[in-house]
Amino acid sequence: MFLHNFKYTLKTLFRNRSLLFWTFAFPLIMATFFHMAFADITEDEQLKTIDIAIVNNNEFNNNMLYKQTFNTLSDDNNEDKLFNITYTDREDAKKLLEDKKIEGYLELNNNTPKLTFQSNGINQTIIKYVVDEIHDTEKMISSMKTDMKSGMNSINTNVCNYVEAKEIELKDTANDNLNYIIIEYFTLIAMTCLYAGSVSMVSINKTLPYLTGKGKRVTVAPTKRSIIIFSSLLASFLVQLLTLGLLFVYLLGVLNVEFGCNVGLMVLLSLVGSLAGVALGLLVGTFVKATENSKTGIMIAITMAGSFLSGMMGVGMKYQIDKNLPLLNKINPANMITDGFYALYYYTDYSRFWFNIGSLLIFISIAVILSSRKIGRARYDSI
Amino acid sequence: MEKVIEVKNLTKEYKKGTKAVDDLSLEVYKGEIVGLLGPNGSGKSTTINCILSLLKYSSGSIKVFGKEMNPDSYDIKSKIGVVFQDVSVFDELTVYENLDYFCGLYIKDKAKRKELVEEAIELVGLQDFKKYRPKQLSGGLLRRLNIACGIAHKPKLIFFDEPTVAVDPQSRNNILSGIEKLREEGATIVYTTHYMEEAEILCDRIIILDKGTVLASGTSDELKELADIEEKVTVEVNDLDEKYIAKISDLKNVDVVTYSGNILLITYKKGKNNISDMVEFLKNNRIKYNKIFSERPTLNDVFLELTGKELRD
Amino acid sequence: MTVFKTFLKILRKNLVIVIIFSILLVMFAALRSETDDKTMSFNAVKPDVVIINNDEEIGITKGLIDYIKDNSNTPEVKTDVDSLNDALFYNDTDYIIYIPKGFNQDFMNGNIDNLEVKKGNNYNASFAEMMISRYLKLAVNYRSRVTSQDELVRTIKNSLDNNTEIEITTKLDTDKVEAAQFFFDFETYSLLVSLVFIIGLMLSIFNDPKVKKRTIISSTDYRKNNRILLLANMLYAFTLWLIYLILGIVLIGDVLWTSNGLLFILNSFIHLITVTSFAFFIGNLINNKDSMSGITHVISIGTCFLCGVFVPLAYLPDSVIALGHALPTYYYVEGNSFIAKLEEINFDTLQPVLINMGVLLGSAIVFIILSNIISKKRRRIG
Repeated sequence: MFLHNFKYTLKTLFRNRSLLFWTFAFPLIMATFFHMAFADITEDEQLKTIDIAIVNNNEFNNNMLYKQTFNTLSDDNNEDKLFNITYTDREDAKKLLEDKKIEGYLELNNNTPKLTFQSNGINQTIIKYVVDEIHDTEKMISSMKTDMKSGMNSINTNVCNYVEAKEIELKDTANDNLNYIIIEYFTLIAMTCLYAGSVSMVSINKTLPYLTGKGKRVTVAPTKRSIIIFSSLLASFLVQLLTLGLLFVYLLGVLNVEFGCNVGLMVLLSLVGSLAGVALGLLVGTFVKATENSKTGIMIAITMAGSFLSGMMGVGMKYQIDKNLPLLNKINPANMITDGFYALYYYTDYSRFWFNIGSLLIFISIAVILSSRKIGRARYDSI
Repeated sequence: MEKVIEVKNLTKEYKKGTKAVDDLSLEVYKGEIVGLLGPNGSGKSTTINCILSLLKYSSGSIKVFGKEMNPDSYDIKSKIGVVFQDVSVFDELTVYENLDYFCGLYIKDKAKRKELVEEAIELVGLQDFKKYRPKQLSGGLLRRLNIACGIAHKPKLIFFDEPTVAVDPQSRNNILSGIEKLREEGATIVYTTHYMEEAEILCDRIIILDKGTVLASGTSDELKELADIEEKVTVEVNDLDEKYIAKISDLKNVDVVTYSGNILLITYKKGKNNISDMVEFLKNNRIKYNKIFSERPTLNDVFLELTGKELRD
Repeated sequence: MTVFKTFLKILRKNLVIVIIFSILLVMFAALRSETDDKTMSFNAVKPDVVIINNDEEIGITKGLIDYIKDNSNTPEVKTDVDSLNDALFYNDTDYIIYIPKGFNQDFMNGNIDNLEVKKGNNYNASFAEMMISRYLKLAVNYRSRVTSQDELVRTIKNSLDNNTEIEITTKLDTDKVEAAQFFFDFETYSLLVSLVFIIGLMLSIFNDPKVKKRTIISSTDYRKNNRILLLANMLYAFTLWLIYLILGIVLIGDVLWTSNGLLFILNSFIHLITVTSFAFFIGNLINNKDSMSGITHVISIGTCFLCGVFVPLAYLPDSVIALGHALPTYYYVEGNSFIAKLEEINFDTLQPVLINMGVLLGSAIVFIILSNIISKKRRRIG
């Protein structure tokens, strides 16, 4: 009986084309979109060189401090190159700014620097900082000049060196795994896990007499319903394992995503997550009374909403919910899975990871208990 | 006679307080075809679902094959077959696979199952469609598949819940003759319908339901006895004078006379030779008529008599 | 009128999906206006720095803290280790600096050669580091030439005070304009899902051979029915656009009444025409209503990723941008970014915006022609 039902459940699942699309194809399509859209993002997050112009008047050319500093900061051989500089006259600089070819331009007049920007922005702020710093230095030199009666030129060189130097090192102790784009892929795996829900829901629809005629047939047959349901769920879990396997092969083998975390625990989390998906499908399947098509629609909507809240369409959403509405994400299985991966990726100790595994197990238990109470009822009030 | 089903004082009350079945008792005997006849919402399907232990009921007792029927009465269930009102099959499976799946819930042995499935396919005449998916079948063929799924395991007791709704005449005949064949093979059959003609043709005994209670039961003829009429004579006649209507009313056995449009309808309570008397009367009075025919009362008349309303809208 | 009634019936059945995606739009816009997502747009002048101070707040320690506070925003983050780590990961803070116990003394004695920090993985983090180094550099340089911590703090402050003169040429309220741009960009997603799904579903239902035969043989004129269907779909699209516009007015406010705002509205209306005609095209192309939801999600999410809705155009790889050029929505999003930067409105400055609008209208015409070709072919076969 168990095998008979298992075999036919697999058959029906593998012939359900729209189900196959959502579980097998859709995650791969999403992964492809992620891969395309995010390929460049992390590199872009570092400081970029900024396009600026400097009004090439006599005063600038005669001020060694400004000239040398900007020279150094725009030197191609300098690792910390900050600027691309166009030396030009004022009119041309204005034009460049209007055409948005540069972020701003610098003009020295009467020993005071003047910056012209079109709008506020971080690049503008950086330019300002650099100019401010040169200005600071200039001031320091003039106060030093009174102390040390030495020649201006040699001081300038010293000054330039120490503008670059840091005497107190800022030692970065943050974890290297700071690539938040990886969360997108984690939400994708979470979504795929929850799509097990669509599979298990379809597989148990046929056993519920108050939902489908097939369910009535199964119920009037002389077979233990618990056996039928268990074998149906097991068949859907098997389908889910294939889905996950395919997704991992695609992510690791084709897209070359580097997760940088413990593979064994990742697999464990995916399996528990898939069980949670199966349990979610069981829950929705037993409690929502609607046609099979609308139930699938509802299940997809729940999965998408859960994935959205755990950051699939923008990682910021997950953090905002975690920070401001923590309860919502604590009961969102998509987030339990995503957060588990995040803990593996970013955290050095595993307590947060196990907390998420625990939450998933609790979710599974609650779902199973609620649905088995509903299914286990021998006779129904209405069908 | 052996009682296959024994329902006593069954009441099914929904939460809102409406009673779908109200103190209903009925018995079904071995080898008969029993028709449950009643309008939509009269409690036919609810009664069957209670018998099958699908629905909770408020009070009453149900015995099938002499034993109390419960959700886990697997020995009883294995002898029952059900053909539900809605077509309940897997769209993803072929005709053969559907039958094999549902039959497999009853019969474990593969070889035996194969034999039974083939037989069921033959019974409903789907030999040419074994590899078809349900979506590729016409409405009538789909109904036949639905029936085959319910009876493939050769049950001793079969419930048919409106199996011929929206079915073409050819499929309907196929279905009705199939049911006859099943009875010949020894099955007891409970058949619900709101088509009285079907019930008349097919059923040994008819139970008329309305508002969840049994109004009457018996053979078709027994039931018709209940109707207070014996014969209806219809005459198509133009421009009949009022005075004749009064005269007809005074004729022997005549109960009610109505005349509207060009149809003269005479209902008789009892008696013989009513139609020949009528022909005689028309001839004597030189009334020209186009058509004259006589009808026996139908189950609809019985229902009308018992409830004051038509069986079908 | 039966066509119209059927339309409303199908719409009511699927309204949940339209509502869900409209809520997403509101959530996104509201979130954006609250937190201004720094990872996506670098217009914040001050980085977010969390200071974990274990020292007494006196002397040079106080000077450093005051300086950092002046030049950065202090995000509201809980200071336990996990919350700080999360904040750094999700760019809620760009930089965390730890000031050790006894820093003010140790610094003056020259016993400090490093400070522990946690640096996020973004542009602002580098900027924050630059800002803090500047103070430390000055402090180290003046340290030997002052007698007390207070003098040191004063000297540094004095040195920092001479701010460079800056001229800003723009007259735009860039923050608000960008919020509007973000709203109109993201509207694409909700609009695509709601329009492609509903219109696609309608057409595939009405194009179903069985339904079609019934409408053809019914007493009403077949062409008239088609016109009513077309009208109903357009009415639906327009209503949805209007609702989103009202949402926009509520969420973004008065910036919509500036010339930039009105251009955003115009652009989104033209985009609506394109998306509606695209939905017609899909509805005519796909005859299977069961696959409509899958097709809708793939098209919507795909378009939004490739055209710079979910990820700003500036961060998309060139290959994706090249691909995006094939999709009309790209010209809408690019048009929005042009509008966001418009300083003054004249023919020269408007040109790129108008060109993009032209491309949108052109593709709308292409979709309409294609739909007609397909439906004509279908009619002959069916």
